[in-house]
Amino acid sequence: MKRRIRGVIMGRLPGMITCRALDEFIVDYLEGALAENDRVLFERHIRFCPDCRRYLARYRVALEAGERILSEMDEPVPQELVEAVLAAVTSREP
Amino acid sequence: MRRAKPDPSSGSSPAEDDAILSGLRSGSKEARAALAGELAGPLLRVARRLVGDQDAQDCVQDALLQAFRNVDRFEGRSSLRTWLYRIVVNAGLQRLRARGRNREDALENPYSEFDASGCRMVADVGDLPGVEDLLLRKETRDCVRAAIDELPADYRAVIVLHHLENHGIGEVADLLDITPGAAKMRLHRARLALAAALEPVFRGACE
Ligand SMILES: [Zn+2]
Repeated sequence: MKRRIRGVIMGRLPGMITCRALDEFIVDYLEGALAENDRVLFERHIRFCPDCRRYLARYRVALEAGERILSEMDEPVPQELVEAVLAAVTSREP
Repeated sequence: MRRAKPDPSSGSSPAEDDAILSGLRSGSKEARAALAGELAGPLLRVARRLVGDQDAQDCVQDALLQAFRNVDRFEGRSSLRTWLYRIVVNAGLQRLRARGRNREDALENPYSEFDASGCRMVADVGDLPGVEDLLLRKETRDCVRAAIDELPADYRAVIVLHHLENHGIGEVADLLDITPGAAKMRLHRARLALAAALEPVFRGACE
């Protein structure tokens, strides 16, 4: 389907939302926090719109890759750091 | 995807809290040592996630000293731990901002673009490999790391609090004193920045 025609359909037909509107739902959708009605609208749009399907796939991958890399960089707090803080806050008057 | 959330208020009884609190109010060294001993580790964990080792130490020390000094201002609406956690998060955010990575306008060119009728325009590059496959490539990992480092302070804070500290959107908003809508927007923009940084990888991987 041509993008322009799709735009008209998504923008005007009842029960359809535009790609732009999809962005307002995407965070809640991925949290599983969308109201049932909005979730139906979201998923219907995704079914009909290949651009948003690609977008959602990349968005998900980016989010998961970000989460993964962040957790890998996340090492346990070194004991020396804990000791240093304890020494600093107990040695002087506040 | 969610891991179990560490509850900052767990680990002691209300009676112990009261004892520590009254100890702090009367300036007891033992009470200070008890509180610091219990909380230094968990507070350092979140501070490091936000700002790295060096600044984390300062954040936590300052927060604890501030708490000792200003214990009279503690109103008891949240636990002492939650109060301190909030102080450390905000100190961390301030330090992040001071580093100068607070230019949200750096992300003015969003990953999601629309035509006049509100239609998205995304290049069709074929099927995307899964995140596992992508992360096997050094190029992907470097890209994601660089993108995370480049995030403006406020976006990084939201990502860390939501994805590493496992706070829900409402809690993140509450901690940072912003609306849930603003927290969602920052989370969304941060993810778009990561996606934009990964675009060359996506294209390369699909060829
Ligand atoms: Zn769409």
